Amino acid sequence: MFEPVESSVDAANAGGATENESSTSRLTRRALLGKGLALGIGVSVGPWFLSACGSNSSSGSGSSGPVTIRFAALVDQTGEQTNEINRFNDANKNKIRVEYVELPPVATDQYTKFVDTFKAKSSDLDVVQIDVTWPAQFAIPGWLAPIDKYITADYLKQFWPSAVEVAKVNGKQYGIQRYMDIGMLYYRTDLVQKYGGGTPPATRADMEAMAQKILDGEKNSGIQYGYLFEGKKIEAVVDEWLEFLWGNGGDIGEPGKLKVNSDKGIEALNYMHDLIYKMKLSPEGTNTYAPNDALALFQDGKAPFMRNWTYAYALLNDPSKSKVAGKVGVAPTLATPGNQGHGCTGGWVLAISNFSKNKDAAWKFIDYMLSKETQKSMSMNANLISSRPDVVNDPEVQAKVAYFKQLGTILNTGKNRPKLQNYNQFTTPLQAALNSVLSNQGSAQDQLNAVQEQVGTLK
Amino acid sequence: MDSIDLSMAKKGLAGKRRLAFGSRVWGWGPLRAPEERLAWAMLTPVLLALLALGVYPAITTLWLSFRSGGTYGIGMSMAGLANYTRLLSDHQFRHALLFSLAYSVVTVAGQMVLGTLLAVFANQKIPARWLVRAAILFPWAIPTATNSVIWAYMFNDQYGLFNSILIRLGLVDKLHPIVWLGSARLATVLIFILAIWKANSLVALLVLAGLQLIPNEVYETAQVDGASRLRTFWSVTLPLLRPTLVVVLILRTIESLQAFDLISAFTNGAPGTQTENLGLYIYTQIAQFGDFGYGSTIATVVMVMTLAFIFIYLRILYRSATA
Repeated sequence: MFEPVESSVDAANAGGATENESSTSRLTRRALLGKGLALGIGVSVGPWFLSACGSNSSSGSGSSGPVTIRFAALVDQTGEQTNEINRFNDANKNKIRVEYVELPPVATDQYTKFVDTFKAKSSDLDVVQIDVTWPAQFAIPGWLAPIDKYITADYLKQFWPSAVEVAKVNGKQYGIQRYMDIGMLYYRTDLVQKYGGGTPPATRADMEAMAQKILDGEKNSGIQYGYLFEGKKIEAVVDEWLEFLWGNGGDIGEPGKLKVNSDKGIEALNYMHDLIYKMKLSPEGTNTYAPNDALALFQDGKAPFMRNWTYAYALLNDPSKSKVAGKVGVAPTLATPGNQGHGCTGGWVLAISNFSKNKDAAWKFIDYMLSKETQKSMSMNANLISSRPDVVNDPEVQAKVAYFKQLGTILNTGKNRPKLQNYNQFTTPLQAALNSVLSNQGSAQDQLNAVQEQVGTLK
Repeated sequence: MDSIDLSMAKKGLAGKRRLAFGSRVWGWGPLRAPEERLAWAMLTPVLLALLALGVYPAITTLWLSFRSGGTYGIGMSMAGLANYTRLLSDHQFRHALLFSLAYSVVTVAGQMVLGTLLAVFANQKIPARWLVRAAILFPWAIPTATNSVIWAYMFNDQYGLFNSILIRLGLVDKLHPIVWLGSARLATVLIFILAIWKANSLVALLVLAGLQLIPNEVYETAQVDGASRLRTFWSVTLPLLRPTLVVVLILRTIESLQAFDLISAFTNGAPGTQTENLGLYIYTQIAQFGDFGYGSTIATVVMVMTLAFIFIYLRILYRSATA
């Protein structure tokens, strides 16, 4: 089938005479092959032996050196996290050493990384910082270690109730929130002062009117859009939809009886679509924007309003990065007349991997991260919202992070996402549906009806 | 290729027939016993690795496709053909299947044509030929996911390179930049272009190797016979390249049906699920939903599709080769 093209030269060798026949001292083919095989086996097996020996000696406990705790969390753009870890390492020299493992910035990617590590029963991670929608998913298969033996009821009283409740699964406590997060309406204080009398809009109609006025009046000073939000196919788009739904007095029901295609649900999605295509207050590229993309535009002074998470506040007020430093305020998310704005809660929970070999040391680190001093430093330097009321209400902290004063209202009206055993089965189809509508790929009614079929019975 | 070598050698045909590939290096004579033992000894580690990393996962996938329930593989039970019947009414699966097929056909055709042309170009005796050959490899050298992220950023509607240029040229309004990744059509086209651009290198490399085996005498004979360059290429070069092209075609088709990281890092199936292929859908089912049963079912379908493609290629291309 592979007819050769060559001719007489090769035909002469047809008898199969091989160079191997030669018995001179030059390297025969067989010798080369044999040596190569031995070398290959040696090279592939040797290091395996060495590492097996090596790891045995280093995993010994006791006085052979500090215990290493690997802490997996998303990157902190302000540098505060690194400082906290360094302070802990200094205070615990020769006893515990914390190593930071950086996670990808998007929640869905972090989730995959955690699942892979847990499924492999790997002891590679000790302290994990997990999203608030994951405790049930990780605790039920036995991937997290309960922390009940380290805490008391009084200990838990130091934190916001939701910060503790979110990690309680089947009666056992699996972690505590390190910092809170919530969706907020960011606004330009200078522009709202000029065009709105200084009070940020509370209802959708107010926002639309103000945004239009600002767009008309400020075109020459860089304002290009009215309202920025995230429409990419990620978790954030589901949270924003929930905020519009809740702000209109709607609800999605309880696990086991979820309803996403209610009238108010469809209306909320249509509103998000209209912001882009009818009212033209949001950029056409919104269906590709993640939180960082919306932040980049707001930071450049291109819009007066933005919905984003709390992390944006510190970055927006950093004069070295932001054009609008000092001109940013926060308010509850938009509502409709007669209703209240409800931000979608988020945040991160500190938990211990059930496969960690150093659970006690891991708890020591978690306890440190939850202590008043560390939380105060975190709030003041990274502007993150502490899970401790005594920090959020501390006058010294409020002096540094002015918006903590308004946070009381925002945090009190926050609503949680459903606590499901597999939250992905709820959010993934919903993300696709919402993104579809925001990309003009389908109608809100059809898309949400399709999602309802998939999520109606999820528990 | 190795198994074809061995079986033909064993049948004692080695003296008469020679495989074009490597025939000058490994001229098989009838194997003597010690050589045969050595041959098996050399092959055993590779066979074991193939069994463990190739055969075992494939059989496990097939097995899992007949099970369902549980989460992340824990707590599953037998389900017969339930997963397969579920496929029939799954719109998302149907769309992903069509997208995978379209992706496969378009990108493989594109890279075969362009890659071959690139290889012929790199085979010419031009000055700095080594530079051309190095440049051809460049797209392949960048890891796929990195490539996708860079391209996604280049096509960002606000800060991307392409819109920047288009805005400066006055072709696009600054307030309404093109949202490349937000449009299903544009995103699909970009994915195809990215895939072809990246794979050109590999095809060019493999075809270049095949071109090396064609002796100069053949070209000279054609020239003497008065064939134009185009005619030479069509009637002389291509037929001689056929074995190489078949192998490359099979390899590229297999890989295109399994494409995952390129699309995942670029659009992740957005907008909606318009650019979702079977690879992404399998990932959603297995890694996000933890539904090993259903994900394995889709993976089995991909496996069967791949085998079907290979079978068709071999039938069509080998039959006409021996005709």
